[in-house]
Amino acid sequence: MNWKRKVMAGSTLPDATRAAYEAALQSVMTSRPASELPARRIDLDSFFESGFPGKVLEDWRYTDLSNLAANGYSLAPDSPAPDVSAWRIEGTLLLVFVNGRFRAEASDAIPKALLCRNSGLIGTEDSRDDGVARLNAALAQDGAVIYLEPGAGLATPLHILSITNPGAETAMSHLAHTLEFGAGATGTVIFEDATTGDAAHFQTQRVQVRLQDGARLELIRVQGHGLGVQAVSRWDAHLGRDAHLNWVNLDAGGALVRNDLCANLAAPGASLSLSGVCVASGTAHVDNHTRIDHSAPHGTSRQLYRGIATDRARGIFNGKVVVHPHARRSDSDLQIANLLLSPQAEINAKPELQIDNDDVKCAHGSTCGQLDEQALHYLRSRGLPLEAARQILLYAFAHEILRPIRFAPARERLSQRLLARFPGELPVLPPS
Amino acid sequence: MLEIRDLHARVEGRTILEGISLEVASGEVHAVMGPNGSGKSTLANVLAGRDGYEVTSGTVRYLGADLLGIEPEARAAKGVFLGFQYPVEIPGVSNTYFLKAALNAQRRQRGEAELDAMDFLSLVKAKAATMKIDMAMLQRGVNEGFSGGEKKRNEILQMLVLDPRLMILDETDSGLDIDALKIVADGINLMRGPQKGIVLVTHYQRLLDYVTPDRVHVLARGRIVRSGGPELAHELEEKGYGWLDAA
Repeated sequence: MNWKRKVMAGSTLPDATRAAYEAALQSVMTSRPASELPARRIDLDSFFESGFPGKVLEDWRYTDLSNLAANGYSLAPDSPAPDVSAWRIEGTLLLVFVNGRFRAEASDAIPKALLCRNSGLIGTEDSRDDGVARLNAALAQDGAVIYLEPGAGLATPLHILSITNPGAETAMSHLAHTLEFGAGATGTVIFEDATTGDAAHFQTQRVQVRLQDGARLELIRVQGHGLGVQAVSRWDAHLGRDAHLNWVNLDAGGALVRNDLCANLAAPGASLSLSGVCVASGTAHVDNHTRIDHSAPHGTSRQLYRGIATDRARGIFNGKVVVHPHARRSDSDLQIANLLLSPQAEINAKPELQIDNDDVKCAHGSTCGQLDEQALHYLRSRGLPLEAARQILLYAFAHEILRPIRFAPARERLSQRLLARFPGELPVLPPS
Repeated sequence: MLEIRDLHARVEGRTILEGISLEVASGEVHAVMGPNGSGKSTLANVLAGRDGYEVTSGTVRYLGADLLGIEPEARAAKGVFLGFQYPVEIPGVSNTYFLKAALNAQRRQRGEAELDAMDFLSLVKAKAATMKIDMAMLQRGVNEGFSGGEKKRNEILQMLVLDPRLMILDETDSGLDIDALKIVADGINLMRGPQKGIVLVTHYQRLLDYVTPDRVHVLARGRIVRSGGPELAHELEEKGYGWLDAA
């Protein structure tokens, strides 16, 4: 493996910050095999070279992490798991990570065949490399490593819950998960982020997904970070021949959030449905960047993103689709719709298509607006007070994204999480 | 029940209603007819309290109290129902959820106990059967992907469930085939009663073959130019609206 990587330039790091990250690496290595050190060393040096990505990079135009460079965070201390019963999703196996470390005592027993933790973090191709990716590679403390054998069906969906438990001092944690489905394997995996309390924390997460030929995965992500959390996550999915990924994301928390959602339709007939909804309020900043690579013929991708921004919040959605020269008969659709609920709120939405093949079907659209006045009047004319009518319409707008979730208990959980983001009270929870 | 006196109203700075006076007593069905642009829909929207419809003078009293000063949702809770000419599609909010939320919001405003899920469901099922609306339609988003006729049947279903006292039905007959027209008319006739008042706003006479009005009014250029019994509707059907220009 070639560890020498060219990393996009960012900001430079003060000495005190470097010293803190050096200490963090030593701390991580106390619980990792010594053989990992050389590679991590290279990654950390590479991060030192590039620093955090900032506005000079096109991909980071709206989300500037360079101010993080001033702070030399230390690793968050090991912390026992809080009571996780409130997070449990019916009919799933729960894996709990707290402050970046696996907590066996709070987790369900996972069949050995399924989970091989600490087997080392597999590397797949990087469609986008930057300082945060290097930092994560250097300092990843732990993560689920899941492998499903060819033809296997995941009878019980997995729920991978990462809890941050910030103390008085701002600290950081880093996770790297890998998920591989052998040919024809099928299952549902739910990733959830949560925080106890509203104190500050910095977290990076890397999730690598590999679906072999004909594998089918329903991948659900609930981003429910606390109001003091700065979180950067990077997802790479690799789809084999006729593999199918149904990927649904809910952004319902965090102070500063950046998600890079990347999928490569690497073999003929792969299909992807990627959808997400973001509700940002207060001064939250939530940035979603997607990148779909159609690398082989007959791939299908459907992207649907909805955002709601209120107060002084800022939402960013950048959806990129790249159709490579030999990926003929690719079929791609990207739709973005946003609602701005306050004059100080801001949403930047940009579909980006790069098509290097004539024999394709690609569509995209982007809208931004306010609630439909006619629909509001219709609800009020039937007796619903203005505020309830507004809440119902907002919820319905956002909830459309959750409807395609097939695993009903997860759909229910996401619906509740979404509902909790609305300040008003709905008369009753609308059916999912 | 409803007393409209010298009502003037404008929309986007343009005066549409120029002095309408109309009284509907309990137990009566009135038809307001007129050509396109005569102000029929504006009258319906003003009564329902839609934003952007500005009353410049005149009064509207309902059950003896001022109607224009209160919010649309409060009008609904007091028993005023508007059947929309173009019912709005609301994807993601199911018909049953919407109806239950609306009914209970009205009941709360009136200080009545809310209906629980079981009671509500048996109520809505019975009414839906009347309107030939099946469970699958009830589970769908409000008017989502409904045909024109389905939307109008859905309006009448909402009316049956909410059980208002004063019903203003704006072009409820437009876009209906003959079967749907009969279903809709049956629904309206179910709501006739000594405590109820109905105003049918319509361009054509054909709904009136099934719902016989007590009074018919002809609206032109923002005023009621003629009133009469049900026979006036037939006269309009024969003569059209052209004679109004001469009148």
